[in-house]
Amino acid sequence: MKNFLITIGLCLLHCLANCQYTIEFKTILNGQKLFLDSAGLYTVNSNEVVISNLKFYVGALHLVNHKKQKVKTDSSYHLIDLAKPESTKLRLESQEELLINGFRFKLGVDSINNVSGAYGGDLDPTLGMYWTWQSGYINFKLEGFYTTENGNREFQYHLGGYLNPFETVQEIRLDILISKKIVIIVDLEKFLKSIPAELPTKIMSPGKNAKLLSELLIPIFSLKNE
Amino acid sequence: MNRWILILMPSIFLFGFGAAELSQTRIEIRYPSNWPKPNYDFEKKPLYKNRVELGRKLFYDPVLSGNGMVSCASCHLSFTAFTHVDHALSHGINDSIGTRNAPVLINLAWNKLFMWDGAVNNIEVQALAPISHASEMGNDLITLLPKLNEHDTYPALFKTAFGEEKIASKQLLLALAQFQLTLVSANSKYDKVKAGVLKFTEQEANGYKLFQQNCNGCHKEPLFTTTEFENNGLQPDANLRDSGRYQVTRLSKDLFKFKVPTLRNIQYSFPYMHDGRYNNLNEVLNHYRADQELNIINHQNKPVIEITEHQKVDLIAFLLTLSDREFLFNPDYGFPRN
Repeated sequence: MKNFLITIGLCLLHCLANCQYTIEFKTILNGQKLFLDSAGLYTVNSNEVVISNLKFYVGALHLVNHKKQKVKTDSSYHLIDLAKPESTKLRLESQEELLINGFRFKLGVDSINNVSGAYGGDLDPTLGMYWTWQSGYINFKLEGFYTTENGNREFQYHLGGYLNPFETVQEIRLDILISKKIVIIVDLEKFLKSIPAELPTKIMSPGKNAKLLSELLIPIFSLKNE
Repeated sequence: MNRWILILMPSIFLFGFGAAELSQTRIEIRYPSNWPKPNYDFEKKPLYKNRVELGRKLFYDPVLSGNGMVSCASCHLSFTAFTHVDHALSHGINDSIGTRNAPVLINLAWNKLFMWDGAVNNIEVQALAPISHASEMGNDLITLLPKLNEHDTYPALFKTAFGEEKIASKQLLLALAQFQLTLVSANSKYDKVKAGVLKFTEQEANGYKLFQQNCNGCHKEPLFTTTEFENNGLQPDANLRDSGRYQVTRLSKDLFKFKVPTLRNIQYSFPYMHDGRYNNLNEVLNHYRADQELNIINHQNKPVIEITEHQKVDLIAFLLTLSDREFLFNPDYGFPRN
């Protein structure tokens, strides 16, 4: 019994020092790390592409065990902004060693937080992720351009909207045995290639196009063990 | 009899906001006991005197606009029920003209959605729209906040109200909301009749009966609005091409629906309708009275009121009992003198 208690105690001490889970969002294009405003590095559908802005909200972060039970939760929202590298890394603290078999999060801000008034922190409306003419957060913002023979072809996707039937927040479920260092790959090539050609290249308000594109974001997230 | 719209609570509340502990005087809005509960959650977010006063100063301060010349009060004047009379469409920065009639600011605490199309879902974020709109105040918070932080008086006032000298969007928006939440009109002749203090004239009583038969469905007592969105059959303006609530929901059932405005203080808030097309109540009632005209888009949605010319006069006499001079000339709502 004494030994058992000592073991538990050591475990707790061990975790107080070590049980920190880091979650890093790594954005890639053509299988390489994405740099903003870099010309000549990436192509999509045979067109050279430059990404100038990528920001998205993640919230309701859950670590789950092999029974899919939530063992650790962070209910706050985080704005991942590629222009601010420190924003792409999140931390979850735990008092005990956890066996983690999956990671869940919401991509975007859910409806209750869209209707509950003015927030500060990562939900501050001055961060370029809040519409002013209409209440609501932009969940995912991607801007850039293709260089074509006829000049630059810009695209701006400001995807959001919390009203049914055009709600855009998505739940991302990633199942894999993972370590304390969780790396989420965000594959923009997958997204850009999946956008139907007939859609406008500027989608900046809620509606059916925003909903459709938001659903195309689900498969671009994957887990990688490091 | 509820004469007081605003009272200062005698007790002092201590609460924390940020790092500092503040002592604050709480304010409660007062309204007749038969009114529904406000939609705004005052228990969760109570009003405080310092914040309301700060919001009032900001409301009247053109510093919020891009060129320092347009304040909220430019289009929302207290003496005219917080709207811009005689202007069909709102006037903004650099002589811009908007696409809608500036709405009255009355009993906002009972509203769920704001603006003619309900595009704004909480009074705390409402101010973002006019401040940022190119044809209204033509500014943005990224430009405005540093200006306020360097201002002679605002940092100290924000510190008194929120405990922190640094002015961020949340505090700015909350202060503006707190002031506007105090704009309660509940002391018209109608209210005094309901409270048993005054009596309607025979003509007003007649008009009230007509109102209950014809108008109360949308302009529901005691707020004189359901705060919902309706299509009242107005022919869409060919230049404005305003589809109303549809622009927000993208649902065809919401085409040409606009927010049902309150009829309180209607005498002072002309011109009428979302685009200010009617200059007087007579024209408004003529719209609802007119026989259905053919070949007019949207006419099929018009609620038709069948009343005679005499009855129309009685109905207007009743509508004038909704004027609340204590609201219009409340010194707590006007330009802050000190």
